[in-house]
Amino acid sequence: MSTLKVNDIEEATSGGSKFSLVRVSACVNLVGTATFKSSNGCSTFTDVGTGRVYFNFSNAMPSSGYVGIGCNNYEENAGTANSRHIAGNYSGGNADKDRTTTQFATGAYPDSSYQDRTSIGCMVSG
Amino acid sequence: MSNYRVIFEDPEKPDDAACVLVPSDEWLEEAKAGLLPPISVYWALQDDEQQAIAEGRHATFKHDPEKHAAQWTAPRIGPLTEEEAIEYLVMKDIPRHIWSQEYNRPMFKIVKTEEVPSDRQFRNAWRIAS
Repeated sequence: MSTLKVNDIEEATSGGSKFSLVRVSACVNLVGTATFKSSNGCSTFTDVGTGRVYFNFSNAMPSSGYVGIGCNNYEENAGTANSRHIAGNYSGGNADKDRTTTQFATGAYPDSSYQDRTSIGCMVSG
Repeated sequence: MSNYRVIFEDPEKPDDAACVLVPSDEWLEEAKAGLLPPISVYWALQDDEQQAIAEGRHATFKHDPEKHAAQWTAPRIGPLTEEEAIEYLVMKDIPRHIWSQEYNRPMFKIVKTEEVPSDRQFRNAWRIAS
């Protein structure tokens, strides 16, 4: 397998706008022993407590203005019925306000408390 | 999956549960292959960002392009063992005040993965065992 190394990808027609690259995508399981399910661009995650995760990036983002999305899966009963993926109801959002260029926090806050999920993830571009 | 986890507490947040740092296999492979820059590269970036936060200009903060590029351009430090890689991660991904200062008890521990409880019923009450 070969690796393509580029800094930018630009559209060939229609104005040549640049495509945004997803620099980080990762998914973790907090049910039982907390583990990565997949990781691209994350050196670690911090299991902060029930339903709460900090994703620590392998490399810093260029600026604090990056786009980050957190998500988690819906479960009627934790650990069983993983019927669909939805964004977390994280007090009105799904990412923290205190993120840095190296760390992004998200979690699963389905009702009135944080809950562990089999899939809590993030995607970061910028 | 890594054989290790790092459990740590933040002395600035004494009411919070202990945190568990979980390494990614992808990153560990890079560490073992010798693809990492010196840890000072990350510290320089962290210092600049912390200064921006302290000065209230984090909302528009951008890293110095040269320092940012050093993540890829700085000379590599060579292959690490898994144990060395975990020590590197402590210094990279755990807040510096937790591991660089001495407290009246240990604030972090590197443990085997199987030593971390899989029963998370009381997860928010976890503390580092003395």
